[in-house]
Amino acid sequence: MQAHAAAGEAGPLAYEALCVATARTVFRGDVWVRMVEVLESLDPAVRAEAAGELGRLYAGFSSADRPQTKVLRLLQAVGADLPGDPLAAERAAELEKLGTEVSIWWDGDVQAAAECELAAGRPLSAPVVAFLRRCALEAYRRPEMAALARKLTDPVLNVGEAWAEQAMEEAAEEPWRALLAHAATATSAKPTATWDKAALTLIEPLGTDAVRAAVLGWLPLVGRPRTFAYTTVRSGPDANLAFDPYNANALRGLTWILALLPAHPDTARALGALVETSLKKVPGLGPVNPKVANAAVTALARTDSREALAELARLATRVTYKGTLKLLDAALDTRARALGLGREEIEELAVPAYGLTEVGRLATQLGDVTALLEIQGAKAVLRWRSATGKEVKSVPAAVRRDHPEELKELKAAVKDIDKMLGAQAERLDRQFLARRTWSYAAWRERYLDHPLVGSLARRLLWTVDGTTVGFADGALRTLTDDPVEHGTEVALWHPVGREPAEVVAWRDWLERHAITQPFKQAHREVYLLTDAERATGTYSNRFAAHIVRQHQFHSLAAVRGWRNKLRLCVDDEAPPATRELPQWGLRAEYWIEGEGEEYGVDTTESGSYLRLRTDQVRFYPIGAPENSAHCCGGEYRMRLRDGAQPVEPLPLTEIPPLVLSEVLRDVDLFVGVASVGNDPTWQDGGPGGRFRAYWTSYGFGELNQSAETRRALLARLVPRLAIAGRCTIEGRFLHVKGELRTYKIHLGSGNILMTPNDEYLCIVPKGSAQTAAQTGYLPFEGDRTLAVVLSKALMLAKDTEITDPTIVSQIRRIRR
Amino acid sequence: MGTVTFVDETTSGDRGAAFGLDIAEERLTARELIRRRVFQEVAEFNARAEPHLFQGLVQPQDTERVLNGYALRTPRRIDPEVQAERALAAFAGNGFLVLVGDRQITDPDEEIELPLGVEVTFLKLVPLVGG
Repeated sequence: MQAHAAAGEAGPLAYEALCVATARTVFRGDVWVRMVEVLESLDPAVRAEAAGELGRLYAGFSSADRPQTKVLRLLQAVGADLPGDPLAAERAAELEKLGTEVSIWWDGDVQAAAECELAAGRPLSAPVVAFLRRCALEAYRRPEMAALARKLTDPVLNVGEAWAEQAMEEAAEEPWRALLAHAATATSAKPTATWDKAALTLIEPLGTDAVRAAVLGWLPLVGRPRTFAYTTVRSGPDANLAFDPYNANALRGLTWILALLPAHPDTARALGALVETSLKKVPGLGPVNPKVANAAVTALARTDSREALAELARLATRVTYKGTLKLLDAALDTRARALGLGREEIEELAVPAYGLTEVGRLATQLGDVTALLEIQGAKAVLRWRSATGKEVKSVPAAVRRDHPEELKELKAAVKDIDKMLGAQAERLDRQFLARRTWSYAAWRERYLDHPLVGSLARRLLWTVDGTTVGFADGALRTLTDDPVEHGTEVALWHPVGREPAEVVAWRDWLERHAITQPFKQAHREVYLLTDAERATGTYSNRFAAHIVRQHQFHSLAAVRGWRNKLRLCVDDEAPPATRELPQWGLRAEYWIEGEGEEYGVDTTESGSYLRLRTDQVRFYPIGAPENSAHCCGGEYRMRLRDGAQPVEPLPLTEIPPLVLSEVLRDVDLFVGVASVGNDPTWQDGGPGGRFRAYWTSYGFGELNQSAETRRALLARLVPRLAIAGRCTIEGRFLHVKGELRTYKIHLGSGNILMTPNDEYLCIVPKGSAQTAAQTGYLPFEGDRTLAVVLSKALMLAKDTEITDPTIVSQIRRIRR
Repeated sequence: MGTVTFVDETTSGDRGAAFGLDIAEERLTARELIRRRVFQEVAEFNARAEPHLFQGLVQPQDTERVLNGYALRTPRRIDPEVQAERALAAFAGNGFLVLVGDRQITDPDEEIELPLGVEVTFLKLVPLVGG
């Protein structure tokens, strides 16, 4: 190159430079620096010639697929200070390509080119502005980039997101535009007094109602797919699924603005929805934008209204992301303290009735038409009755025409009720371990007769002064249907410690009254201490030595109120999965460790383990020092600080049966759902066949409690079937003799082994549409595995008649 | 004339609410028994003011499965003939089992004795495919 430069050969020089600039291989920085030096030291005439040559080369040049910031730099170096700026068009074109990129860490070339364009009085396009702003927000930005970004004021938000584009369209005029611009300056966790003051000044001329209506129109669009996708996909999480970081700040600003407006039910609703949208999980990233979620929670906490409080209480049962949950807890605690109430009480009082006038029901007159809002099971349903009393399913035209506002309200109420019912059912499910009792009067008001909660509470069993009661035919009734009118103390009923006959009798009672419980209560699994656990003393091995999918386990644990840390395949320590039970002064621990060591096979791309190996369940006093173990496995040790003494685990015999049962139920759920043993495609044993023995023992091993029940049912059922002659129940299996082979169907998993060599036969239920293949009254849910076992038995008894080629080929497979 | 009790048994071992059906004959084919049951449940459904949740043996056309039955997208009457055809097709394809007393009936044309108070159980199954 230097030779070409010395000879003043502009053509070859330009060609060489372009080659260096577009080289895909990583070239040495000093080569580049020297090249730029050579170019800049050229005689302007030669350089102008080189620029002309470069322009010609550029026209025929295709670097379409990745950002060529080096080309940009080259164009800058060759042409920028020449008269007439001969490469301006090329530079603008290169810059334009960056508009569909996420960002780059920092590159002076980009900044210089952008400054140059601005200096020349050519405005940057909206996508380029967005790109530069994103660059300025990168963690390793340099102040120059931030200074440049500050100069870019138009457009007011970043393009590429549906909500922002809508907002910019609606708020194109001043002072709306100024409000959006102000929102985008929300870069801290909380607004300052100055920020609030400036916001109020902007809101004032617009009117609070207009501002609220506008903002609430934009928020539902948050989280929609981007209006254009980024071209370069970086390794790691897909940026197309994340929020634009600049717009995310603006979203925070909008939540601050909403908190400044007078309280309104729609605001609470929209903020709650924004929390959930912002916590949706994105692969490799986790919650999409906790900052926005937290801002929305803070806004709710600052809003003094019943609706906002209700929304906080609802979110507290739904959100599992730790940071946001902490904010929610703090907000609820603050509110409880302000009202002089307990935290549980505030959550109970926060449940709104959404206009329901009696338990699970609301009838409103809209002109001639009656609107009926009814809770049916876990859902709210809106029905219509015309003046003549005839029911119509769709919304009558008269209502659409004359009462659009009321209609909108009713439809919103239906949605709110659905969400709240789910949240309340979960809250009630957690009350088993909350050790709560209520005074009879308060309980009637907040539970049994509460318009919304009542629809759940009336389907549960309670104890009133020690007597178990359920609600049927308009009254609380005992097992013998005698009404119970009064009482002093009420608690939630749990089957632990009850006589099995009583539990069965209550199940029959529920069935007789056709009551479907909102969650398993009468049919709740009970886990009692086993002899093996009495022998091991301080720990339970009941759920040890399972292989579970880490991410599934992690999210299940969070939903059930456990604290867990994702284990990365790195040199680090982590505590076990724990559940704190402050009401009992206990902490439950489930010991786990990462499984495998091969990156990419045993881990995700980001290095977190795909699978965990499980170990003991233990209990400690709640304040005991934390246990931890190396992520890759090894012994758990107590981390002692400040001369603390180690604390021994508690003997299982000292754990209250209710706590033991509920904790083991959680753990059984984790294993039952997240175990790789559930996956029929793992018959080869997964990576390297390592888990074959585990998979086999899980799929064909000892029966658990529910499988034992299944066995008893089958023993009753099978003799009545036409295929009875071909079936026998032996040990853990239902043996079915077909024409071609004999099949052993495992009663626990429904998996099948075939004679002569216990070969696995893979048959799975068809399609997801059929997942609940039962009808009629169900007390809570059916036993799907039993249905699967029976269906398989019937199919295999006539194995010569099977037509599905994927099954036939397995059965008729000739072993070589 | 005798009353036959129909029971839907779920695979969790729980039994649905039984309902009785008056049957004049002492012997019927399984085909006819299923038809009678289906006609009865369709008649009850159609008699309702606003029929939108069908709780019956087999799923009617153009409906959605919900927790306790099949939801109709728009309220309408169900054709008992069509519904009976679907039930018989499901029966032939192992969609459900029929137990009369303690015996499973497999042939739709088999004549069944129906002594007084006999219980007919319907048991639902799961469609399977190879994997």
